[in-house]
Amino acid sequence: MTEQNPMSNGGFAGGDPPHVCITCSDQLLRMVVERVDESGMIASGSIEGEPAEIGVDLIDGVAPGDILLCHGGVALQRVSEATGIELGL
Amino acid sequence: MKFADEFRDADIARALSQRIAGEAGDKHWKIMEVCGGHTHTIFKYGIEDLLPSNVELVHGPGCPVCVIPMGRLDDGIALAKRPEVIFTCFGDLMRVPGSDGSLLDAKAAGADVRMVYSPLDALKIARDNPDKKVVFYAIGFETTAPSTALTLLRAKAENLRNLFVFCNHVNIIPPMKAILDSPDLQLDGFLGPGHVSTVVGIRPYEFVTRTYNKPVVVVGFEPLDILQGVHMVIQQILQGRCEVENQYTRVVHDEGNPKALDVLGRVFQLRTQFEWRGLGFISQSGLELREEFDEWNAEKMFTVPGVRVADPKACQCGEVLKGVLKPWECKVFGTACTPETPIGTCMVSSEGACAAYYNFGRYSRARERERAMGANGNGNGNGAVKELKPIEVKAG
Repeated sequence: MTEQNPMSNGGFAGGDPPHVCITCSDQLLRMVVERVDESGMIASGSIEGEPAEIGVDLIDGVAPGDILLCHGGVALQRVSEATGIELGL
Repeated sequence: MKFADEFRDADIARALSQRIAGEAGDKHWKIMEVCGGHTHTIFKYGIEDLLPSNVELVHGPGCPVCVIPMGRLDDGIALAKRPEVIFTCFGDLMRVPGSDGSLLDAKAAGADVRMVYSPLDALKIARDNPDKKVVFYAIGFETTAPSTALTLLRAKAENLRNLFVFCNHVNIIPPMKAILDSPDLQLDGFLGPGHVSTVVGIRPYEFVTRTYNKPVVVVGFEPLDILQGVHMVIQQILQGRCEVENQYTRVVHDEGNPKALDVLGRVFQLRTQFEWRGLGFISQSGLELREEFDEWNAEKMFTVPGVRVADPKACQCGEVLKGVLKPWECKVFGTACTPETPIGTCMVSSEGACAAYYNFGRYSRARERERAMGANGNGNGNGAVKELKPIEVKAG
């Protein structure tokens, strides 16, 4: 997770500026899927190198190797290959 | 990092920057980035340094922490202070000042306030503490609402009766309309919120092109995404087009995420109106739980003050949220109001325009001054740099 724990520095008093807020801030985190449980509702993998479990109820056919965009503990979309338009080409 | 590094390529950024400068001409362009995540990227990577001075980025209302009115926050704090309650929320909310302290202050005074990363964490806390009432203070746009909806569906399926949601979820479209209707601000176009659009798709923005004749480009969150979005808005206008375009095709599908939309429809309905900090009451801009979730609805199961509270007089978050004022134009910015001692919500969340500007943007202005005096910038404009880097934040 990229968010700084607000308890870790006594409530942000000084120190580094806070990292990106997970609250909403329209921020999604990328998870690389390593395993999907038998129910098909929970995927485990890593987010920025840290182990994570994510609900995948809202994405069809999640499989190991998929890259998912996650927010609030839930995957909202699968990332596909970048296209030319997105690289300014 | 795959899917990130290629969107920070300095050579492509310079090429885009030159194209924008060449095509922008002498006109003064005002383009609003709706989303707080974009604001954060713009300041973090010094995007404004890569744009000509006549292309102005106006920061919009897309930071959900920032738009929560103080009265709703006071309601949450009142719930947190109840002895039978375990109060859960996302981290940023804990620092937002209410009219009599913050959630962190309530926690320091003995309230059981816990930060969670997901409403599903609140569900687990409720399972583990059957003798307590667990309240989740839900905020966020359409990106966040699906996780709350899934949590409620699971709680109902489990017949878990000690979890309650205090719902402050909002929709991004109504405030965009309010801004377009405002005489205070004349915009040329919008950079649409990328991750909200993963859920809602791109069609909800068509009213902006149809009714207001302003182009919308849904963009991603890397520096090249933002630059390309700006270029696409300018190109649309120069070519006489007015469309909703999708720059963020690696993530956003035109139809959004139908499963997420279905879940939202099963759990939530539109409120008649909802108050936004700085924007006032906007009709059909907020979500509330459907009647079948009354037993999980904190507003139905607890008594809260429900009092409307005015913002502190010195705070000009409202004008900042509408894009009428730049953060540094607020009377208390950087003096009485800092990330350590925020007065307004825009200084609390890292996605808030004031915090983003305080943490990163002021260095950009310092570089402008340095360049004017003949010194070097931060390197983002240096031809030898191969990748755009976040701006280094210095202590103090």
